[in-house]
Amino acid sequence: MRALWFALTPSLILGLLLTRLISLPQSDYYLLAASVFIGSIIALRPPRLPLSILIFAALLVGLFIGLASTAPSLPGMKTHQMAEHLVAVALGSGLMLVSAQVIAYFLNKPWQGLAVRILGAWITAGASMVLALMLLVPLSPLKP
Amino acid sequence: MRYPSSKIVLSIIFTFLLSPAAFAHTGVGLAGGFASGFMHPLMGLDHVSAMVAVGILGAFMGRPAIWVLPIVFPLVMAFGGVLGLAGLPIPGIEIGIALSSVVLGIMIVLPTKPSLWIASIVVAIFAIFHGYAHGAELPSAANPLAYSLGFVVSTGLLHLTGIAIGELIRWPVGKMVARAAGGVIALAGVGFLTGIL
Repeated sequence: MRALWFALTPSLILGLLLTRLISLPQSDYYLLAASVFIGSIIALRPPRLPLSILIFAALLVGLFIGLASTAPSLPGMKTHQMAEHLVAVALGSGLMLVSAQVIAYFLNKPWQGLAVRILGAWITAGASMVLALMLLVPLSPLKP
Repeated sequence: MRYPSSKIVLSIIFTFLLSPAAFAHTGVGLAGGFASGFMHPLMGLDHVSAMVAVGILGAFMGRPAIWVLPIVFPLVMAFGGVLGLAGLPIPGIEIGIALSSVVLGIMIVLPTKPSLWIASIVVAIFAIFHGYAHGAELPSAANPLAYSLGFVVSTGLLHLTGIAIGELIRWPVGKMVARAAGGVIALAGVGFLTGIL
C-alpha cells in the first residue's frame, strides 16, 4: 500500500506541473482505461500479480489525473490562483484515495471482501461501457 | 487497531441522512446521471430479480461461485452494453431478460447444484441481454459516467442482497426461505414473459 502511495503522489504532482507545458487531449479515455484495468485487478485479484505492475498503474493514474486537471485560464486569473487550483486538485485526489483505502481497509471480513470484488467488477463494467460510448459515439463527450 | 465506536458511526450515518439535497442546478433528481443510473436497476423488477438471483445462486453453490458469478455478470454485461451502444441488433432482448429470471430461479429451486462452468456460462449469456438494455439507454443519460456509476452501485447492492439471502442456507429454515425466493423469482420471470408483470 505504501509503495503505491510513493508512486502515485510524485506522478500526480508531476502531472499537475506538466499541465503548464502540455495538455493531454481526451484525458477521459486514459482515465477510463485505467479504471477498467484497476477494476479488473480488484475483481479478479490475481494471486501472483507482481507489485511492479501495480506501481506502474499507480504511476500512470497519478500522471493522468494530474494532466487532466488543467487550471482554467480565465481572464484576470492570477498565477497564485492557478497554483491554488493545482494544490486543491492534489489534496482532493489524495483525500478521495484515502477515503477509498479506509473503506477497503475496514472491509476485511470474508463477505466484505466479496463486496469489494463485486465493486471492482462493476467499476470495470461501468468504465468500459462509458469508454465504449465515447469511442462509438464521439459526438457525445462526457458532460460536466 | 481501534475501531470507531458505534456512536461515531451512527453520527456519520445520520449526518448523511439529514443532509438535504442541493437543488441549485438543473438536472437533479431522476434527470441527473447518478440518480437515474442508481434507480434504473431498482425500478425494473426484471433487473432486480435477475441480479438477486445471481447472488442467491452464488451463495447456494458456495466458494468460488459466490464471488465468481457476481463478477462474471457485470464483466460480460459490459460486453452486452457495448453491443447495445454499437446498435448491433440482437433479437428478443426483453424475452432474454425475462428468461434470466425463470432459468436462474429454477436453478436455485432445484436441489442439484450445476457445475461452476455451466452456471457461469448461463449467467454470462443472460448478462449480455441485461447489458444490451443498459447500453442502449446510456447515450440518453444526462451524464453517462455518473449514470454508469449509479447503476454500478445499485446493482452491486442487489447482488449483495442476493448473497445475503443465499447465506440463510446455514439454517434449515433459511434454506427453505432461500429456495422459496428462487421460486418467487422464477414465477416473476414467467410473469415478465407473459406480460402479467
